[in-house]
Amino acid sequence: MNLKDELIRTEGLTREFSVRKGLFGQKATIRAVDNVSVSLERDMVFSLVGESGSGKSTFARMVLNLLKPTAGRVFFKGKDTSRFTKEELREFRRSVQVVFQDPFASLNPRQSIYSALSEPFKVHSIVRGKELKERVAELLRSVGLQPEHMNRYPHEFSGGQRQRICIARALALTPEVIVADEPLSSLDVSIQAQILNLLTDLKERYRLSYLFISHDLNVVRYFSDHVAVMYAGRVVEEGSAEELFDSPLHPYTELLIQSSPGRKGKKPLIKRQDDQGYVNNQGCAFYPRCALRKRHCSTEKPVLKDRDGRRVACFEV
Amino acid sequence: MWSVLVQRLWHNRLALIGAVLVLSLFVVALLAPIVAPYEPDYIDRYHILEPPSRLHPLGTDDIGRDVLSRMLYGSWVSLSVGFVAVGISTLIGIILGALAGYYGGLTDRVIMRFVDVMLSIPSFFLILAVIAFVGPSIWNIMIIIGLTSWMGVARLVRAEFLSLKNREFVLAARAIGASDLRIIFRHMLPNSLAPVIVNAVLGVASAVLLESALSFLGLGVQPPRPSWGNILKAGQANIEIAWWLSVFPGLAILITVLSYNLFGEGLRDALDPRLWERR
Repeated sequence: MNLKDELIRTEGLTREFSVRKGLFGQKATIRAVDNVSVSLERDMVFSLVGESGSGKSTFARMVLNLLKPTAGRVFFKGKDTSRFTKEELREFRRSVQVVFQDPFASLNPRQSIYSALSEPFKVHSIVRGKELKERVAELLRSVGLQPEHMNRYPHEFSGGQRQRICIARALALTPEVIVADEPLSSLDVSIQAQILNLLTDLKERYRLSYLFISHDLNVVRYFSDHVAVMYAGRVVEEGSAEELFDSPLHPYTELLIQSSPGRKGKKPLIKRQDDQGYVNNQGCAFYPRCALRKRHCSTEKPVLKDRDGRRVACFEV
Repeated sequence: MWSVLVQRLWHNRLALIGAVLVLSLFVVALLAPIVAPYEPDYIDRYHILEPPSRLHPLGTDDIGRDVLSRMLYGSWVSLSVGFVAVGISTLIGIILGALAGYYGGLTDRVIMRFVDVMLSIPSFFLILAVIAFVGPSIWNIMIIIGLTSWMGVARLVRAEFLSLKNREFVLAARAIGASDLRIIFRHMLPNSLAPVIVNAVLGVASAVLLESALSFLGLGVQPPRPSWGNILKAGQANIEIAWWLSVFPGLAILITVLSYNLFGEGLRDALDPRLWERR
């Protein structure tokens, strides 16, 4: 793997949350992300797909060094991000930026656009004084907004415009990687296309690599080079976008593809009702909904195995 | 954003009345030296315990001082105690609440248990006990009221911080590399001030009330310096023969507290986005 230009690699990344059931109930731990090892190379769009609650956003937050993993490590250019020195962390913050799902929550409502976009420059003392205004204007232009808007506040913009502002903020530090956590999900379909085009343009112009998180398979198929499918915190299948969509191996991948909107043909496989013999956390997490399951699937956890240049976690394929 | 607030306050008639009263109390307190007919400790030897008359609009007290003048000067005392005490308590509350909410974990637990301890002591008796030690003076009262009434603010700020901590714009600021201080002061604090402001306005009312109670008990502002509470105290001794000594300062306290509460509650409604749609 190191032969290629590797930017981010995770090794057995795991995150647990403890929840208490009821006021005096026992503490239970939920494993939101379970042993995820993937890597993102330069110039690549790496997509993470899965239904809501599958741990995609938690994974993104750990990659961004915003959330401490319970176990496992994140490497940036070969260096463990949890052991960064202050200087290395600064460098990492400049190189890895984020765009979130909800553009309404991503901008401080009491901060003008100028203030929001000049903040990265100020924090890293890159630009000062008069030049700031110019740089902010430049940023706004690069995402297709008018520089005159810089004195306005977030509530004066539409969702699509706000997402452009968020993208501009992410671009300010000329990053190498942008983690995009469902950047299109809260936008109208017509706006989604615009933002997707913008992301594609910017990729070319600034030589960006994306860690793209989404549940919209049509977008993922169009946009990404490499895809990992997550289910219940684990990667169940991973491979190049083309192969994975053309011939899904894991039954969950197949189910996802078949149930994506606008698709005709075979009906999606329906959840089977009889869950007898299944103990949570012991067998394959997909067991209750799987069409191919066998008895041992309920007692043994499948691990990711290489298969035809892909990786898949299933006993039955 | 502020224009929306003013607009909403404008439509709430009670809050508007409260705001006008609050403002006029301020003006009165500031102008006391000009509008008061007498010096607060001028003694009119020939009119002792006189009912309201043309000479003394609100009567005189047991040693012949003009009640109106004393109340006007006293309003400055009451309001300044209210504001300084609330200033102190709000500052402490914001700092401790922000620390607890932002850092969480052990910091949070220690601070919040301290809040619980403070809340479990009846604050009025705590204040009485402390004043018995340090002696009653206007500054002591301001500080002590401030030091015993910050817990509500701390809880409010902590709750706001807990909910803001994982909001995307805060995470984005961290991803940019902003320092903790920058995130707290630029991003989180400005977005958590609305309930704190409301609480502060309501807090002024209770501080005014507390100061009056203390002065009434003789542990507050010391005579000859006038305050509404110690005028009331003088009135209590003569309540059977001089009603005006009790009624007028009592009314002043009532109106002040009421107007701050009306204004504060109007402000709360105006700042609460959940109530915006209903009108």
